[in-house]
Amino acid sequence: MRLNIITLSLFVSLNLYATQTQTNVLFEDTFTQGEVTNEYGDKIAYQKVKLQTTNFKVDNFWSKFHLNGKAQDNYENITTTALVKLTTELSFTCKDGGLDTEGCSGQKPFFINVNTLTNPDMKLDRLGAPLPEGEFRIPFDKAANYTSDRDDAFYSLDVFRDGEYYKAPQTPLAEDSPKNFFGYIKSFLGDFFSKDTATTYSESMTTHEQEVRGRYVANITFGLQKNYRAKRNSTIHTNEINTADEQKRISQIDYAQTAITSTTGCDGLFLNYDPDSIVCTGVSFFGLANWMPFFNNGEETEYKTTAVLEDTEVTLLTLAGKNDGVNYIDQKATVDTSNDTKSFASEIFKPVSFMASSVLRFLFGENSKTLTEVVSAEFDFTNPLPLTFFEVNNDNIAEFRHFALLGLESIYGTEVESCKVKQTKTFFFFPVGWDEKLFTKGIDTNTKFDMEAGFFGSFFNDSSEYSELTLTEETHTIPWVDWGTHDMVNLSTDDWLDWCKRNQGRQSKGLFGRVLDTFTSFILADTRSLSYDEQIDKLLRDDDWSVVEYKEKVHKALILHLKSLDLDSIEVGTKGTTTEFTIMKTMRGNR
Amino acid sequence: MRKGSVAIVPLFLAISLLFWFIWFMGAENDNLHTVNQIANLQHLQDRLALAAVQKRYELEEANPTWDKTKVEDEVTIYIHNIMKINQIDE
Repeated sequence: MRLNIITLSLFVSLNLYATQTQTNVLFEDTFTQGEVTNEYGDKIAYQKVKLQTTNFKVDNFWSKFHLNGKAQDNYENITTTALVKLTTELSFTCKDGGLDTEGCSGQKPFFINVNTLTNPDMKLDRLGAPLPEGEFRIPFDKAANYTSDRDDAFYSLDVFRDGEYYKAPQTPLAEDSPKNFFGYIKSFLGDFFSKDTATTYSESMTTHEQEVRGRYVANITFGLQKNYRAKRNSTIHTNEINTADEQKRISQIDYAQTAITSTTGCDGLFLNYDPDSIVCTGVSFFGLANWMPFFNNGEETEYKTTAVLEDTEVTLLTLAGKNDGVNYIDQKATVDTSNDTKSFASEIFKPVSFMASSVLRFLFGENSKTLTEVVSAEFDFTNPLPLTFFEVNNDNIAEFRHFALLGLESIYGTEVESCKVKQTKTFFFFPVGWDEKLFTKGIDTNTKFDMEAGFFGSFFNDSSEYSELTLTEETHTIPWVDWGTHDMVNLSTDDWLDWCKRNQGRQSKGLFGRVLDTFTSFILADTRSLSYDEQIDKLLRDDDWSVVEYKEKVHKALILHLKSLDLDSIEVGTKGTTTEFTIMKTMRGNR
Repeated sequence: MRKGSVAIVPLFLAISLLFWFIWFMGAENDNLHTVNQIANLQHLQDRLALAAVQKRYELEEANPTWDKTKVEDEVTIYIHNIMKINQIDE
């Protein structure tokens, strides 16, 4: 009995004394020291973490045979402090896709020249007003336009990649496992786009170009492969195109693609077309149309496209959508359930009233300014997608620039080519013949209309009906009839082409529908009044002119809306980044 | 007394030595055991340091609304649970 009491009290006192063993984790704030970026431009930071185990107990067995032995040792405080290096790169798809991290990095295959970020033109918004500090809108430009002093565009690069990181494997994939590089990129792009387009590609690309294209898309999606990343101060070959190789040669990139839409119209994604019209005004989304003659009267429409631009846009849009968990295409598209195609809702297109010169250069080369209407679709992203660009100074990578992709803007411009018109001649309401004219953009013509001609002309002439138009006066002196002085209206080629645009049948509102009601052609510096157009309409209607064939081209450009990220704002866990953790050293403390 | 009975002495000594040895080694063994246990714990802490940092940022990313203290508390709970599995924490 006594023994029991002793034992019991012993237990109680032991329990009172012995506090529980507990491990606490203590974090110190991250800090930087020495180099803040590594040679690849990734951010380096450090963090100390301390693991502290209090009241750690060790039970002793042999103490039972020892006079001074304690049955249990209690260590109040055992700690390990680790210094952890955090290397943060702007890439996230590897982590999400469960892919081999060797295939991913933060660097993207884009570069700008050194003065681009100080160019004030790059700091203007779509209306030409200044952007907030640190924001830029940088247009895409093609390799052919590159010179080392361009400071108003970004360019794309061809960087090598091992086959396993972008090509289909020899053995076909299991349907349900995208967890390999190729499967992932396939499902990644496929989820967003491919099933919705009715466009097929002709084999217009060489095998080499197809490889270049494959690795370009993979390079944007995943970042450059770790092995082929570029180091600071290394060289890129800006005067070469598509020459990347295993020796880490980096060149510019360019490839074009012929896409064929076999159709009843223009199937595809960026479509807003009227199948009945003689003009198919669509721009298919996936891989289409920087230069697109879109007059279509056959079964098939062929588009020759600068696919680099399209691939850049599609991939970035997909990436941003993945980052945000939103399908930006779906959001802005309408689905035609009858043939399962998507077209962009015309409401998303806005008229463009200001444009950087490099966009024009991209579209037409240096001096041409023949766009008649320009609209753009803007995408804004919720979580800005981080991207790392190269900043190049005379073929040397001077620095890595980190940006957040706030949004992108897809620009569509139509350029009039020509218009064929005809006049039905009548004699007292009976058609007696016809006259045909062809007006081609760039070829100046002058068509004169005698406003006081004919029997009724001199009586019913109302000069207010053509008061806005270009007038000249002509005096005809034919001996036996006194013509007197007649008002002559002069119509130029541009007048005719504008009129054609307005009167081309069911597409009278132009390429993107209602948008154009408010559109003013800024490139032509079109300040003509509404009544000017109305008067031409009336004049030509009264004179029985109609449109036979109207041809336009659609051009497409891309502008990225970027925000400069300074290193401080890139933190571990910033959306769209991946961080590697490395223990640099550990320190121990006892008791 | 029989003549040969003195032979018990070495045997007795040997047994005493054995007991002494057990007594001695027992204590030393406890020391070794302790050192071992602490070293083990510190190795475990080593390993978990990285896990703790990773967990911290994972939690931060997954729960943007949590404040710093909340995140760190959750990390502590996470590590504590691992320590329990390893029969260190109670």
